[in-house]
Parts: sequence; C-alpha cells; structure tokens
Amino acid sequence: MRRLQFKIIVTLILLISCDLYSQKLKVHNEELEINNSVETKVFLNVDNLAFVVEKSIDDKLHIDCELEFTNYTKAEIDETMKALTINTGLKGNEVSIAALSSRSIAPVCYVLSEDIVIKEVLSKDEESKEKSIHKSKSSMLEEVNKESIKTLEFLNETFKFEDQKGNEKKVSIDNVQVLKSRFVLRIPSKVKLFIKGNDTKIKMNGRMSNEMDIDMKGGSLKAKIMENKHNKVKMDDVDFKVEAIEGGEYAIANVSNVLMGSIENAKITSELSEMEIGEIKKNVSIVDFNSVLWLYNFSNDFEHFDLSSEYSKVHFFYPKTDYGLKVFGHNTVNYVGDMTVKMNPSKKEEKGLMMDRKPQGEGRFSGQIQFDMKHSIIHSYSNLKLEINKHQKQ
Amino acid sequence: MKKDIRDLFDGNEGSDLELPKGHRQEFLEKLKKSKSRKSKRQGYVKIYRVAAVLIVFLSIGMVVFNPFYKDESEVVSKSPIELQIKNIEKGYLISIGNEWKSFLKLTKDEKLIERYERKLESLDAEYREILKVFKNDSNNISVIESLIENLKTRLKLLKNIQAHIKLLNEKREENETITI
Repeated sequence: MRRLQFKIIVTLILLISCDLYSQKLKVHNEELEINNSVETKVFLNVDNLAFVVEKSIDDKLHIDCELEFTNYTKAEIDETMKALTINTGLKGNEVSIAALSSRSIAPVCYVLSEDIVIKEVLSKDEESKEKSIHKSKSSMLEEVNKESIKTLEFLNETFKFEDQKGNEKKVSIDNVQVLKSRFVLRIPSKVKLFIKGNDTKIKMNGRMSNEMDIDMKGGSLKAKIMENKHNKVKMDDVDFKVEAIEGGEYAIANVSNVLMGSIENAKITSELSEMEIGEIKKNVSIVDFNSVLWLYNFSNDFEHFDLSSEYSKVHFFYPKTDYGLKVFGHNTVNYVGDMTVKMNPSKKEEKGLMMDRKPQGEGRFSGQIQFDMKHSIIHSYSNLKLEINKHQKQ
Repeated sequence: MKKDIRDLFDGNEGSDLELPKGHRQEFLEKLKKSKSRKSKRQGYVKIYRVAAVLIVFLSIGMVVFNPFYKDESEVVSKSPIELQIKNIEKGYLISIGNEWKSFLKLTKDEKLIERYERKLESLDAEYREILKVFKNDSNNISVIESLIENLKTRLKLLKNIQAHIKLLNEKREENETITI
C-alpha cells in the first residue's frame, strides 16, 4: 500500500516537474582538418545568433554550439531547436558554415511570461554623450571591455513592467524564460575569414591576425585586436567595440555606439553614427557624413590624420606633442574654448581656411592633421593660447 | 474415441456421498475471506481514482496557472505585449512624423533631405523585418528592444540633424581664421 502511494507521488512530481526545467543541449559539435594557409577560406553565414570567434590551438577548425534553456517546456525547446539550422560544408580549400535561426538568440535571451507586460520604456539620457569630457586611452579600453550581457536588473532599469491586473511588477526568474547560447568557431591563424551576419552578435577573442571580410547588418561586433591590412569590414546598425584596429578599411553606417581603443593604418567611411576613438595612431583617415566623432588622443607618431566631413560634429582634443593643423570649412562652426569661429556658406560652396597651426618645432613632431568640412561643427579643446586673425571678410 | 456424455451419469457414482460435517461453516468462512480480498481491491481502485482526479486537476492547474503556457486562441488574437508594442509604436510614429515635418521646414538642402528620406525608409523596412520575428517570438526582450531601438533611432536622427542645422543657421557676421 505504502509502495503504491510512493509510486503515485513520484509519478505526480515527475508530471509537474517535467514541464518546467533547465536543460543544456549540444546543438552542433564538429572539427575539420583544413590547411592553415591564406588560400583557405572560411565562410561564416549567421542569422539571429551569437558567435564567438577565436584562434584554434591545433590548426583545425572547430565549431561548438550549445544552448541552455531555463523555464522552457519540452515543446518550447523543440520549437526553438526547429527554428535553428546549422550546416557545414568542406569543398577543396573552402569551408562554409551556415548558422541560421528564425528566432533571435543572443548570448543571453529573456522571454517574458504571459502574466507580465511592458508598461513603459524608461528613457535614458541620450544627450549624455554630447558632454565633452576628455577620455584617456585606458578609460576607453575599459569601456570597450565592459561586459555588455544584460541582466534582469538591467531589464528592470530599462522597462517598467506590470501584471495583467495593471500592478507594477519586476521581472524575476519566476516570470521569464532564459535562453543562453554559446556558439564558438575556432579557426587556424592564417585562413581567410568571411563573415556575413544579419542581426548577429560576434565576439572575437584575442588578436585576430587573419584576413577578414565582414559584412554585418544589425547586431554587434566586439573584438580585441583586428590586425590585417587587407581587412574589409562593412557594418550597418552594428554596435562596434574594438580595443585596437591595425589596418584595413571600415565602412560604418547607422551605428550609435562605436568605441575604438586605438586605430592605425586604416580608412574609415562613416555615416549617421556616433564614434569615439581613444587614440589615433599612424595613417588614419575618415570620410564622414552626419556623424558625431570624438577624437580623444593622438599618438606621438601619428604622421598624418585626415578628416573629410559633411554635416558632422567633431569633438577634437589637440595632440599633446607638436603637430600641424589645417581646418578648411564651408558653412562650418568651430568652437575653440570660449570662442566661436564660423566659416559662412559661400555661393560657390568653396571651403575657406578656418584654422591653421604650423608645427612649433619644439619637442617631437607627431604629425599633420587636416580637416575638410562642410556644414559641420567642431568643438576644439585645448589649453593653448590662441591668436585670432579676423580677415577674409566676404 | 467417442463417448456419449449421458453415459457418464449412468452409474450414479457419488450420488450416495454425504456432505462433510461443518461444510456450511467452512463455506461461510471462505465467502468472508473472498469478500475482504474484494474490499482490498476496491480500496486500490479508490486510490487510483483519487490519483486520477489529482492528475486531472494538476494538469488543468498547470495549463491555467503556468505563466509560460500559450493558449491557441491567444496566439490568434493580439497578446498584451503586442498591444503594448503597438501603443509604443503609435506614440513614436506620431513624434517621428512631426519631427520630419519640422525638418523639411528647416532645410532646403535637397541632397540632405533625400539622404534622410532614404535612411528613414531603410529603418522602416528594417522595422518590418523585426516585426516578422516579433510575431513568432513576441515575448523575447531582445526583439522588443530592437523594435524600440529602431523607433528611437529615427526620432533621434531627426532631432539631432535639426539641432545641427539650427546651430549652423545662427547668424555670424565674419569669417575668421584662427592661427595657433
């Protein structure tokens, strides 16, 4: 009799508990023998997923994909798995990896239960970036490396939630489902990597010396060091954080959060973005349309830096060592300390010289800066004494 | 070998046998025992019935009270989160529309207007794409954030460019060159 009662209780407990549980699932696990040479091409095509990319230690290519579900029913897990496909192929020197999901899977995803809804989106201080506080390279690196995975506290700070009866409610582990993903691609150091991403979060660990061709729309790209002069990176609406760029061409559009620790030997084409650069090193040029740029520091051997812009706003902090500067403008305003200097629009839309600094010949010469601006605003920050020549009256 | 069944009773074998003494008592005792076995079995049936009822109630409870359960009818009609997003979207779109009108009043730069028009169209197309994902995954916070971020971006772009143009349009009389 007692045995029977025990059996019934166990059955009931199993019935209840099997519906809601936490489960880790291996989605894909594969290693491929490939030639570690520049001739080998790896194509990673990702949709709605998060991938970590790093160097492999054994010259093989590895793909490890794992998902962890909390508060998901068996049926919901099956549904998520059904929405996800990972296919790989190896043909000659080309590896193709397609990882696609019709559902958005970030490193950590929160899915609200039915009994809680968003009442309000709490507005953040969007103008905070406009403050012109100087940042050192090290503080920029700290910002780049700041963990960006959202917590439940973050959600409660971003949204105001309420239950079905209209009572304010906080999001907690009782009323959300949590989906964690860890998809890792490890590649040998010399292969050429092509990434095509759509609403994808890519994180690159360590120094990436591989030649890379990246084309991403939506999502984020976070990297340590991207080191290859042949790199071609195209980003549209991609949150971009990188410790150091060493070579390559970058096309950045519609990105409200670009943080670069340092940049050298690189060309940037940007538009409608907000971009902060911790340190400008050798041979950098930027062509911009309607972005806000923060140029915090220059290395003492940056050689030359060119900025060509239209409808841009530039926060420019002078180099600490000797340098040359020329600013040409058309319909452009330059705020220098307490003074405002403006180059009014001309009928022929010609640019005039707004600011000129010749190297002083004192100490180390670090390089020449040239700004070529239309309909732009410059905020120049310096403690240097200025001499103003009012001339060129139109 | 065939045998007529009637032959079996021909000899009337055993017809003169007498029943043993106390057979009635013995029969009653056997009957009693069988009854108690039956009542034990009935007890088990009762427990099974209770368990079955409990399972039914628990299953109903799980369906009704499980916050992650989605009813088919709810999927067809708009869920509270979808209605909420619709409201947020409506508010933003009104503000975006107003900002667009004031932007057009502020500038005559056709190139700039065209570029912004294209930009807003592409953001709108993106929004529709995210909406498709949202329809299948409406409670996913990342998707909700993407939707709101898209609307916020449009509004912010329009506000920022207007502030920029206003600043440039401020009248200043002279052109100057600064020599440092």
